[in-house]
Amino acid sequence: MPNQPPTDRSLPEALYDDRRRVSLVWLIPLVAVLAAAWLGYRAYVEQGALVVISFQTAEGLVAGKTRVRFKDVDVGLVEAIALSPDLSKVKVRARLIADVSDYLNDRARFWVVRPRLSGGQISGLNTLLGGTYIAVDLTGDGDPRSAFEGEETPPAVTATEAGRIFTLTAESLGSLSVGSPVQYHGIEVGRVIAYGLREPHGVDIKVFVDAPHDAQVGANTRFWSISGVELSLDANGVRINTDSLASMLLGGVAFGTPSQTEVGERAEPDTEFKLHPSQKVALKPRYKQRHLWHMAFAGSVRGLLPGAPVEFRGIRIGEVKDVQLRLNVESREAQIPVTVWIEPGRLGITDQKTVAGSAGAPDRELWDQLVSNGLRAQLKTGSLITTALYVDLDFYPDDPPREIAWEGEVPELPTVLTPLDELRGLLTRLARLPLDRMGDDLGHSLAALRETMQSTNALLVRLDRETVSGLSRTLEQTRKTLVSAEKLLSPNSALQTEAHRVLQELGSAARSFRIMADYLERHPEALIRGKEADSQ
Amino acid sequence: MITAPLALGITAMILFVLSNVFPLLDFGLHGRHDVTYLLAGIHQLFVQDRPILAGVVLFTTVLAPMLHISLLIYVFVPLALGRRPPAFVSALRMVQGVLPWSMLEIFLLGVLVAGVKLAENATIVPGLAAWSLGLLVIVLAAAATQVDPRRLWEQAS
Amino acid sequence: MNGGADTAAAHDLVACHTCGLVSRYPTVRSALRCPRCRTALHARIPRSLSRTWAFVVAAMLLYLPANLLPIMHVTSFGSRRSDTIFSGVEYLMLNGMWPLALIVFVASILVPVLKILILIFLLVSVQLRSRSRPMDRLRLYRFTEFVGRWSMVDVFVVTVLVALIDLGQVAQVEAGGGALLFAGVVVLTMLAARTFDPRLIWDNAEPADAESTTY
Repeated sequence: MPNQPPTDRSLPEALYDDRRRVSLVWLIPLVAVLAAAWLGYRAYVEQGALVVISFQTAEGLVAGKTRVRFKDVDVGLVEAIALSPDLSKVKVRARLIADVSDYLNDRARFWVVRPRLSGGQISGLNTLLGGTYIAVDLTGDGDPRSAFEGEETPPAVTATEAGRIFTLTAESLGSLSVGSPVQYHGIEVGRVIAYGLREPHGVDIKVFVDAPHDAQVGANTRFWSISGVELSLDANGVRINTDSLASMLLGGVAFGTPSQTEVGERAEPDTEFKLHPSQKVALKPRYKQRHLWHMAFAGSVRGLLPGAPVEFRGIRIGEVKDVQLRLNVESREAQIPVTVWIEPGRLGITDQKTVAGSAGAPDRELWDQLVSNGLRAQLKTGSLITTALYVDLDFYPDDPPREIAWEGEVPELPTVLTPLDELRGLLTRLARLPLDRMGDDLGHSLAALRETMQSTNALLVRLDRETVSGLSRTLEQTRKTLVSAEKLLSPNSALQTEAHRVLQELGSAARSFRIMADYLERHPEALIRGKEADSQ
Repeated sequence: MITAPLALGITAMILFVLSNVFPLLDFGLHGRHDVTYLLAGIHQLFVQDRPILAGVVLFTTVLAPMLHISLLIYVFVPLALGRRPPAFVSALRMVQGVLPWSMLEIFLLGVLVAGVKLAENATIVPGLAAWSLGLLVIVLAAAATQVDPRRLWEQAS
Repeated sequence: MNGGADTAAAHDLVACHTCGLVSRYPTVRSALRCPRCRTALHARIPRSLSRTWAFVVAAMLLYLPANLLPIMHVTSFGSRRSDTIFSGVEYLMLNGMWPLALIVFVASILVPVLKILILIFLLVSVQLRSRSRPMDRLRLYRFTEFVGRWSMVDVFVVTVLVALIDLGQVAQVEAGGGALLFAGVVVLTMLAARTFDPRLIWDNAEPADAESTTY
């Protein structure tokens, strides 16, 4: 049994206090409520705008999981995916964070980032690991919007990329495609972003050049294609030129300025440039003037192509424009006037005095002077590997004087034959020599000479009988000499036969040589390959 | 004491709601971030054709605790107001029955283990729900110490 | 019931296991309800031993498959890896996370085994009418009751992983059959502990032992 302690009256009596007090424990739920309220409020406020984006397909998109990103930063989450009422599109509802709400305008673009192969480039591989996401490109200044049309491919240039777009014109697209690189001094500074047909023919290619390299595109800039392997087969021989591997596979474009030329005034966006087929063509220094000339060549012009060079002692001064046949029916003469461009600037003939109405006409005095000094045009074989010919201008002082034919639209320069033609001419003349008759004549002459010698011999015999022995001895010697000479010169003598034979051989050699020259002219490759085994 | 359990019970309810509404863990891998919620896990188990398992987890982590907390509040509000809770006895019996099946603290440990396991390969950030769950466990433990079942039964009779 | 210790029943009293009220026996001793909380009154949990045995045996039967069957499958880039509870512990150890490995090992492997063994021990001790150290046996029981639920940790780990790892090709996690079986083991052992009436421990104790014990 518990003991009861004695009641000590000296102790104070406890107070009775039944007032209700608010316990401190209520602080806990209070804090909890406040925290919850604040969190809820924050979550609500941070919620940004809701947008609806329509796409063709929802492939890879998962409601509640797929994120929306701008510059690789999470800016939203897909909440729901549904089909449009007419089942033609997929409507994706996404909630974006408050920070980007101000930028949801008509310039915003949405696209889905998936692994993609386009323009020879693989993009979006990070989504294999990280999951497909919707990317957005945002800029300010636009009308606010909440419904968007999603794009099926990423935009070629996003609004935030700095740089300029230029248009290149070309005959054909070649091996270029969207994404093909644009190079400057070998560095990739841009890409092809679009192309389309151009009226009436040709293509327009839009390229984007990044800043700050877009400042290098100026008035004097030339663009050329660096696609694939450049193989040129012309009067200069064979040349192979390749660029980067990327450009070899994808095709590409490069730009630059001719040496010692400045870039010039910076080109405005959307300026048009011509796309040249190669660097060589693009960077050819262009002199301001060039004149048309005719040249009529007598021989064959096979192997002379438009674009073939016109040279003066090895320096290129122009190019062949075209080659045409002009047949004079009455006289049955065929003439092949070749039309060429000559850029006088390359000859060092600088800007002509601008005569009114003939700002681009050649200086007659100067050219007449040159021609009277022997300037002629000739076709020459550029290289033995290709059959290409080129036009060579040079001085031929031995050529009979000729003149430039200034009448007609285009002045005509005098020409000389090609060396091969010359040789052929010589051989033809040689073959026409009457070698047989020459042999006969010689025989007659020799016969006459023998008669003369026989008479002389008879004279000498008489002389011998009547003259002193000394004299007769001398005469005897003379007689012996003459007898030897006679033997030598008789119609059947070895010398005559020999001479006859030599002349005959020469004649046949000349003939064969002529045949060979003909053949060579037709098949110059035979010099390397040999004659074909057939009847010739 | 009556007010303490009530206060704690209300707190527990708020924390419980937070634990379900906010994400449990933030999982970052290769630049992508995924979050998961308590209920999402259960839903996934359903989706993966494991309904019984899903049901067990649902019961032990959502239904039992919810019942427990609700009953706590249900009992103590009237008591705090000086009144007798209706069906007091049934309520007390239910609480006692459900208590062993509320396994939130074990779930928290599970979250911890899972998080550490994943932290090796990915960036794991505990979400709001993880923190509120921790607090909830503490609050429930505190509430348990404040509740005297014997007195409650005496009051019930 | 049994002679030996001084029991409430011997004094015509019976305690309610729900609300703790001690009430007096009326004339009959069956189909009784607690006056306060209306739960069925029993001096001892009816058929405690047999029911507990049933649960324990069931738990034992499930335990082996629960550990052999994988509790989760991880699929990454088409290749699927299955993890059992054991391999999960192994993984944690190999990766230097041994505190976690320890926790998971204790909670998921040690505890269920321990629980089953303790319950068997308790059951056997009661059935063999052992009298030794009832307090210790009670403490064992309380420990079992308390610690049993923690084995559910692995099931929750799987749940969280399943929810979190849904990364398309990179990784996907599925719950395996072992998870459910394991949850089953935990539930069964919890039920087993519930049906075991610890008061049975004292039913065979000597009166002397009974007096020296304090609750």
